[in-house]
Amino acid sequence: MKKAAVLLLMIGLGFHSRAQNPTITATFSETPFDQAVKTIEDQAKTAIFYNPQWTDTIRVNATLNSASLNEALTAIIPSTSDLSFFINSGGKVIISKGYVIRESLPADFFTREPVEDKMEVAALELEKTRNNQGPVEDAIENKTFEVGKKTAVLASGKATVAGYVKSMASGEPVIGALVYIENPKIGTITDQFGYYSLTIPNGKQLLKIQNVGMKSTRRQIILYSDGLFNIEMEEDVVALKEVVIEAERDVNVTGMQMGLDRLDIQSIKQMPSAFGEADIMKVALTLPGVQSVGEGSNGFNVRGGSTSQNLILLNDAVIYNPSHLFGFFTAFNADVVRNVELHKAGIPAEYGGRISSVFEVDMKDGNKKKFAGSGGIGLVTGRLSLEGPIIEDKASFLIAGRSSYSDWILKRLPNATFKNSTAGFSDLNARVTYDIDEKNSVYITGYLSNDKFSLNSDSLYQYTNSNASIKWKKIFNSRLYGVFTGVSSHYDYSLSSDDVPVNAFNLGYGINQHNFKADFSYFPESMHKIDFGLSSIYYDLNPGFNKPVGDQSILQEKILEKEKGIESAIYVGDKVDINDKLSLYLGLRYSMYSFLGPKSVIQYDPTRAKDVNTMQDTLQYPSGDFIKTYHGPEYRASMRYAFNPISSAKLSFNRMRQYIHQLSNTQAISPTDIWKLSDSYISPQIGDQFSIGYYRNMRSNSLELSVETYYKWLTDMLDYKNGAVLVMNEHLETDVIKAKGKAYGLEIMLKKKTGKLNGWVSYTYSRTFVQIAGQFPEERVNRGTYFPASYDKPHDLTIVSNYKFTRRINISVNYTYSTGRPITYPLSVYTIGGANRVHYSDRNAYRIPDYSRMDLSINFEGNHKIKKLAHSSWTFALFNVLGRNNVYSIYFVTEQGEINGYKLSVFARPIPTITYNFRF
Amino acid sequence: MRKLKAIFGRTLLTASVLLSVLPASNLIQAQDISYREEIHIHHDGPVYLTGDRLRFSVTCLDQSNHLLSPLSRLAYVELLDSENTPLAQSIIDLNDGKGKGDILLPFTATSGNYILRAYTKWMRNFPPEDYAYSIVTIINPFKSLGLSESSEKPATRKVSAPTAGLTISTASEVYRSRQKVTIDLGLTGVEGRPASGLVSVSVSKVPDFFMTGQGNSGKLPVVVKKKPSQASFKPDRHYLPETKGQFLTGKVYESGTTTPKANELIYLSIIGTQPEFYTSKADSEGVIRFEIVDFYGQGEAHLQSGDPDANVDIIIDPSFSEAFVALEVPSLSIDEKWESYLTQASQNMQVRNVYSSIIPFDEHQPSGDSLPFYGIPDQKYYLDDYTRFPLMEEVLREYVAGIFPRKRNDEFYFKMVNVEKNEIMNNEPLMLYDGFPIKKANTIMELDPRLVKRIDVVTKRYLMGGAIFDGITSFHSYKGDLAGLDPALIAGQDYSFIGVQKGAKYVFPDYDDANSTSTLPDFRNTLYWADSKEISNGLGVVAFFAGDDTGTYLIDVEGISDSGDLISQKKFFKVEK
Repeated sequence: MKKAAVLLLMIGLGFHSRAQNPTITATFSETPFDQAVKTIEDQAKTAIFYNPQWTDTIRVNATLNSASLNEALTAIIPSTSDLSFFINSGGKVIISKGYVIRESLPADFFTREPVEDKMEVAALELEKTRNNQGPVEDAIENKTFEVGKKTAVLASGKATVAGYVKSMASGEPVIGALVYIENPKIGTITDQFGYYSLTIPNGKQLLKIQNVGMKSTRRQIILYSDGLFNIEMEEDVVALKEVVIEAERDVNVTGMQMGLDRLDIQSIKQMPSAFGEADIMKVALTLPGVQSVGEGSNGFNVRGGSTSQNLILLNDAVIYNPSHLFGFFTAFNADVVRNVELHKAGIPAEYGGRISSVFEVDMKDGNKKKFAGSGGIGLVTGRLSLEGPIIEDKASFLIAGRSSYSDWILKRLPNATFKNSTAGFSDLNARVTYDIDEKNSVYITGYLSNDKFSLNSDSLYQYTNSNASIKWKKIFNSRLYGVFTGVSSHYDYSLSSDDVPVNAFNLGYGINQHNFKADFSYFPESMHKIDFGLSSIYYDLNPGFNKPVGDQSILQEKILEKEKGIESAIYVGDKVDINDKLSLYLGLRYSMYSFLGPKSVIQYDPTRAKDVNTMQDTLQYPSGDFIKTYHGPEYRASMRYAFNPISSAKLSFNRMRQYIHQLSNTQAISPTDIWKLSDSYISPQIGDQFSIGYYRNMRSNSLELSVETYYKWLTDMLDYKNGAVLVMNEHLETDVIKAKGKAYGLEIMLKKKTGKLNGWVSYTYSRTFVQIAGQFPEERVNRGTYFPASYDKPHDLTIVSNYKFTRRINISVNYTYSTGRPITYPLSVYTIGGANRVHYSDRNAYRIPDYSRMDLSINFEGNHKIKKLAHSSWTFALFNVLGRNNVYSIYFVTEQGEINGYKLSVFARPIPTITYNFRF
Repeated sequence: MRKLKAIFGRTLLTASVLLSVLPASNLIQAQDISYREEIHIHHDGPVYLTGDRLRFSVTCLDQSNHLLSPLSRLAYVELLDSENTPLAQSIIDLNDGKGKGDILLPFTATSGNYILRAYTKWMRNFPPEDYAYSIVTIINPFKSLGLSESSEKPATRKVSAPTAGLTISTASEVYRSRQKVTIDLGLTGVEGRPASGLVSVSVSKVPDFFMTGQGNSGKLPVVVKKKPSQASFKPDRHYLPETKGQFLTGKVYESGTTTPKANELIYLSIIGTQPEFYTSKADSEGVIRFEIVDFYGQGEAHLQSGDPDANVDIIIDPSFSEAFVALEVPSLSIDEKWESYLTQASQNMQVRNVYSSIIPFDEHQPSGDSLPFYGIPDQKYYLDDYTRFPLMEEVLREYVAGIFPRKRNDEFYFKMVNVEKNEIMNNEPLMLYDGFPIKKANTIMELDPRLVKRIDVVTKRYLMGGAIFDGITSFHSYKGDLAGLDPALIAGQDYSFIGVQKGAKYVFPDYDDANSTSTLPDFRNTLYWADSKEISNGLGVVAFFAGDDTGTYLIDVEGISDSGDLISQKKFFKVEK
C-alpha cells in the first residue's frame, strides 16, 4: 500500500515536471527487461540505470500508447517486486531495490524555528539496505511454498498434501520418515516409495520431517487445496555417544505393525559372516522367531513354519531358491539392497500365498544426481555395482554383479577331491527408475542368478533364478495412488552326469510364474488409510524331465506332464487411528485357486490309502479346464493400544492360504527340491496365527524391549510317507501325507539402537509339533500323536553386538545358542527271515547336540576426508571363533555288518576371512 | 559484561610509569625527548552527507626539518563534535610518515561542523596544539539542520602564500558525463625550477556558487588553531613511540581495590576470524604492556588472568588522546541557497548506498589471511573437508592427530604429543577458540563441531611472554564470533578494541572501453581521490572519468614538496549532460 502510494506520488510528480517530454509507444510481450528498457531509453532519450542481476528474470508484458516516461516505467516494473524508480533532475532514471529513494529534503530542513528532534526513517532504512547487501542466505526452510490451487480466499476445512521425501544426495526415496504438523498433532510415515499423504487444515502450515540418519528439516507451506509437495532431506551423521533423541517417534511402540522386523543395511553389513560377504538372510536368522536347521542352509523357519512357507520377494518377484553355493551365500547382493522387511505376524492383506511369513527385499534406486559405484573383493567372491543418472533428477540406472571365484581356489587345493570339484555362482541385478512426471514413476528391474557345482567330478548340479518386473506408480490425486506391477519369475535346476556314457543323463525341473497386480492406497483423511487391490498369478510348472545325453546313453527319455494353475485374490485393508492410544487394522483377502488342464489325473479307490495298488482310472482333462478349485477368505486384523508414549500392547490375528507346496527330502532348501501345485488330492495349506505383544522403550528411546507370544495352527501341510520318491514321480499323491501342525512360542528381545555399543539380545522359547493322523494306518506317524517337527528348537538365544571404538574401527561379536533339532535314531537291529532289520525310534524322538557358535569381525574404515578417489574399508572376520564342532546332522552307515553313527559338522574350526570394500 | 571504558577514570593511577623502564631497543631513546613530530591531514571534500565515506590522507613530518618522519608507524584520527565527543575513531598505518584511511559517516549523525584531528602516540607527550585539525561539514539529509537565526559568519582561511608554486591545468573547463578528465599538476620550486613532492588530490562536487564566488557566504569555515601555549605541558603519562605496532598498556589490581597486583600473567585475546593472542606478565607495579602488531580491523578484546582462580581487575589505558584544545568551531552556515545542491547530493548518496555492494568504488579490499601468532601450525584441519560429526569428541578422536582427549573424574583434559621428541607432554596445552583462551577441555568438548571451521594444532612446547604452553590447540568458528560458546564463560573483562584500519584500495570506473555500456548508475560525489600522488621533476598527471551527475567540481591538491614546503592549490571545472 505504502509502495503504491509512493509510486502514485512519483507518477504525479512526473506529470507536473515533464509534461511535454517525448512519449513512448511500444508493445512488449514476454520481452526481457533489458530490451524493454532499451526501447524506452531510445524513445525517451534518457538513460535508465539498474542492476541487471535484479531484473534478469523479469519478462515484460505491456502495451504503451503515447505513454510518459513515468507510465512506461510503472508498466515495466512488476508491482510485486521490491523495485522502485525515480527520475532525477537531469531526467535520468535510477531503479532501486528494497529501498525507495527520497527525492527531496525534509520539509523542515532549513527551518530556523525550533523543531522536534526527529529523523526520517529513511536514514535507518538506507543503513539496513546497505548492510543487508551481499549474498542473502536462501535457506529452503525459510521459504514459503504454495500447495494446491491458489485461491484469493482460503477455503476453510482440510486438504491433503502428498508427495515424496527424497535424499538430497542421491534422490533415493526416504522410507519411514515422519512427516507431521504440530498443531493439531497430525503425522504420517513415508511408505516404501518415500511417499506421504497428510490431511491437515488449510492455510499456513509448518511441516516437520524427521528420519533416523537424516537431518530433521521443516517446510513452510500455504495449503490452498489438495496438492503435491516433494521434500528433500540431507543426510546426517548420528552421534556415536548416547545423546537424547529429541521428539523422535518410535516405531517399536507407536507403530501399528507387530511381528515386523525392518533390517537396515548398515547393521547387515557390520555383521560377521562366514565368507566375508554381507548376508541378509543370516542377519534375519538372528531375529527372534527365525531359525534354521543348521549352518550353510539358507532357508529359514519362522515361528514354526517350514522353509517353504515364507514368501520371499525381490522387487515383488518370488525367489524360489534364495541361496547360493550350498547356502553359504544368499541370493541378495547387499550392495544394492535398500530395505529388508520380515513380517512374522500381523501380515497386511496385500500379501498372500505363503502361510508363515513375508520376507521382502527392495532394491535401491540408482543415484539420480551423480555417477557412483561400489564393490568388494573377498576370499571367495567379488562384486561391483554402478549407478548414475540417465536424466538428472528424473531417471537413473543401477547395475550390480557378483561372482565367485571359488573354482579358481578349488583348483589350487592339494586335495585331489577338491581339484576335481567345481563350485561357483554369479548373479546380476539391474534397475531403471524413471520419474516421468510428478505423478508417474516407472521402475523396471531384472535379476538373474546361476549356480553350478560338481563334487569330485561326479554329477553337475545347476540352478537358475531369474525374474523381471515392471512397476508403474501413478498418483491419481493427493489422496489416492495406485501401483501396477507385472512380474515374471523363473526357477529351474538340472542335474547331469556323463561319467558313465551309457547312463549319461540330464535331469531337470522348472517353474514359471507370471503375475499381475494392482494395489491402491487411499487416504480419506488423516489417521486413516485404506489399501485395496487385486492380483493374479499364473503358474506353469515342468515337474520333471530325464533325458539321455550323448549317443551312447541308453536312458529312456521321460518328461512329466506340465502343471498349471491360477491363483487370484482381491483384498481390502483399512487402518485407522481412533485416537492417540488406539489404532486398528482390519483386512480381508479373498483368494481363489484353480488347478488347470491339460492334465491326466489318476483316480484311486477311495476306501484305501492311495498307492500304486489302489489306482483305478485316469481322467484326461483338456486344456483350460478347471480341474479343481479352492477358495477362501483370509482374515487379517491388528490392534495397537498405547498405554503411554513409551509402552504399548499389540495384538493380531491372521489367516494365510498357500497353494504351492515344496517337496524336499532335506530340512533345508536344496537345489533338488521341487514345488508342487495344489491339485485334486493336495489341498491348500492354511495357517492361522494369533499373536500378542508388549513393547516398551527405555532410556529416551535408546533401548527397546519387545515381548511377543504367538499360537499358530497349520493345516494340510505336506509330509512324506517313509521311503517316498519325490523326483520324477508321476503320482506324488501316493507318497505324501497331510499333516497338521501347531506352534507356540515366546520371544523376548532387548535392542539398543544408539551408542558406541549397540545390538540386541533375543531369547525365544518355541515349540512346533506335527501330527500325521491319516485315515489309513500307513498315513499315520508316531501312532497319530503330535511329535516335534524336525525344525523344532525350543531354546534359542542370540546376542548381536557391535562396539564402535571410533567411527573408523568397530568390532562385532555375535553369539548364538539353540537346542539341537530332533532326529530319528535307529534303536536296535533285529533279524527276520535271515535279514537284518533296523528298528527305528519314533520319528524325531531324539535330538542332535545343542548348537553354539560365536563369530567376530573387525571393520576398518578409511579416513574421513570427503574428497578422495574412493572410500574403502577392510573387514576381518572370524567365523566360529570357539571352533566348536557343531553337529549339522547325525547319520548312520552300515559298515561290515555294523551300524555306525557319524556326526557331520560343516564348520568344525574357526574360519578367518578378509574382505576389501570400496565405493566411489 | 563489564566494559572497561567505564572504569577508565582510574587510569591516572598508571601515570607514574617512568621512561627508565623502557627497553633499550627502542628506536628513539628516552633522552631523544626533543624529537617532535608535526602532522597534517587532508580529506576528500568540503561537504559530506551522512552515509558518505570521508577519505583522508595524513602526513607526519619531523618538525625540525619538515621531512617525512620515520618514527611513528601509527596515526590516530578522530572525528569529534563540538563537545569533543568522537563520532568516529580510527588508527591508520604510517609508512615513512604517509598514511591514509576513511570513515563511513554514520547515517544517523546530526548535521554540523565537526573536527577531524590526527596525531601519533609520540605526540601525546607534547601539547595537543601540535595535532592536526580540520573542520568537516556533515549534513544529514533526513533531518532538519536545526539552524539558528543568529548564524555567525564563518571564519575564513588566512591566505598564506605558498612557498612553492603548484599549478593545476585541465584540457577543458567543461566535460560531458562519463568523459575522461586528465589533470596535469605542475610544481616549481626555488627560482621556478621544477620540483618534486607528494600530494593528495581530491575532485569533488561543490555547489555551483562556489565557482562564481558570489560573496563569502558560500565558503566553508576553516580551523582557527591557536598557537601552542608556552605554559609547561605535562602529559598524563609518558608514551613510547609506536615504531612497530600498537602499545596497549594497563594495570592489574587486586579485585575491588586500588592495590596493584604484581607478577600476574595476563592473557589478551582479540576475538575474530584472524584471532590474536598475547600474554604479558605484570611488573612489580602491576603494569602490563602488549604490543599488537599487524592487527587490522576492529575486534572484541578480552582480558583475563592466566590463573583460573585469580581475582583481579585489569584496567587498560585509553587508546585515544584525552587532551583537547579549545577550538572555535563555527556553527553551520548552510542556507536555502544550498537546497538544489543538497537535494541532488542526497539522491546521489542514496543511490550509491543502494548500489554499494555492486559498485565497488568505495570498497575496502578484504584482508588476506595472515598467519596466527604461532605461525604455521603442525596440523591444520578444515572440518568441511571431513565427514561431519555431531560431537567434538568424535572429531578429535576420529581424525585430529596430536590431541589426546582423556577423561579424569568425568572431566576431559587434553594431552599433546611432542612430535619431534615423540613423547607425551606433561601439561595441558593452550586451548583457544577464536583466540579466546579456554580453561577447561570440557568447554571445547561441549562445542557443536558444526560451528567450527578450522582446528590448528601446534605439537611443540610454546614459550610466550613469560608463559609456557605444552602445545596449542586453536579452534576457529566461521565468523570468529565464539559461536556456540557458553556466554557465561566470556563474561569477564572485555572491551571493543580498535585495531589498525586496513587501507582501502579505491577503484574508480573506467569508461575507456567503448563496449562498456554499463547500466549501473555512477553518481559519485568524489570523482577522484589519490592519497599520495607523486610529482616528480615538476610534473604529475592524474586521470579519471566523470560520472552520470552534472555540476561544478573542485580539484583540491595538498601536499609537501621534497624540500619540506607545504603546497596546495584548487581549481574548478564543470560536468554537463
